[in-house]
Amino acid sequence: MAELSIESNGTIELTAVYYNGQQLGGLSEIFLNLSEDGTFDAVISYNGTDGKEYIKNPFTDYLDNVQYREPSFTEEEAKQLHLLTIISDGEIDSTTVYFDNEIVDGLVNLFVHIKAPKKSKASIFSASKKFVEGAIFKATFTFRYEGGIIKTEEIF
Amino acid sequence: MRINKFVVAFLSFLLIILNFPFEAISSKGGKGSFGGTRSSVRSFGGTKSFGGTRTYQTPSTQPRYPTPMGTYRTPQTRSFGGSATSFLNKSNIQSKYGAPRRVLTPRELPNLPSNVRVYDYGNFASGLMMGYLMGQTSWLWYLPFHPAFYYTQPVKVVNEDGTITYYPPTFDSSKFLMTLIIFGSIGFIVYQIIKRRRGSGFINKPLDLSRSSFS
Repeated sequence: MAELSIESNGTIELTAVYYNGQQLGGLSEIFLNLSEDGTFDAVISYNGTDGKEYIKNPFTDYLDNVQYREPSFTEEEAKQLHLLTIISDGEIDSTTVYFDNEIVDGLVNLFVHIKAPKKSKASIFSASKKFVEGAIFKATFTFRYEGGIIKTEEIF
Repeated sequence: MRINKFVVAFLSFLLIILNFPFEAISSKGGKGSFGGTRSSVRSFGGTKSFGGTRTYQTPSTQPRYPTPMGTYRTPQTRSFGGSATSFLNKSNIQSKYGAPRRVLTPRELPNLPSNVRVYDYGNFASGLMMGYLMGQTSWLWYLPFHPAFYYTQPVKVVNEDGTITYYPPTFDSSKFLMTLIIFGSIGFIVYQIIKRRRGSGFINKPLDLSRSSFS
């Protein structure tokens, strides 16, 4: 059973991803689409310690040459963030989701897509070469409430 | 950005075309700024001399001769549009402009017909008028970046005795406002495009991902 946690305030600048308790670095994209109908899409894309680009399923694959880094946030800072934790072996039936350390029930779907921005070329508006293009941050819970009401909520 | 440049260039071109005085230029003909082509009145043909009934025409008291700003025709009474030709409009114009600093006669402006008087007020508009009358205009005058673009053509007044008086151009505030609106619209569109492309904020700063797991 692998444990994947995402700690964030909804912005990519303040987003830390933990794998089995250790903070990852060098991530370029993470995509999770878990549904009660059995859908289990989990992909993580990262630059390895060897400089190569890897695409893995964090719950079923071994993360070769993955980069770990020192924790970014202090405890005080972490209080301002939300923590999403998924413990799974790759099967939806044995998957448990926690939000701020509390188990989440009634889930219909969990969708997370976070993508680091690409660096574009220089622009006439700045001398810097780093610009945000294509950054994605989307994370939603879809719950089923009493009476069969389906509702989608932002996670962070 | 290529599309933006194209849009700006196209709209600027459109603005220039819309305000370019093709008629005034085309009426100058090949003899410089003064003169121009006469109206195409056929001398022969048309109505037959023999047969039919005779139609009486009052002899025209107005002479026909070329003028600096086009072909002179018998003044038509119109309330709006056209140039000021009536005696009433003349008095209005004179009261509007006031006394000229000097009146230029054809002796001082040899290219002008003998019945033309030019009222010089010694200001910028008078300078433009002289440029128009002498044919010493520049293509820059037809660009919105030049002050002359926002002035009208010289005001021509045909007096009752057949003489013609030219007054300096006036500032065309409607053209100025239209230009402001057009360029403002272009600027707004470009701003919106850049803003959308770069996300929130006109100039998007690079993200600080030093504390993020993403890079």
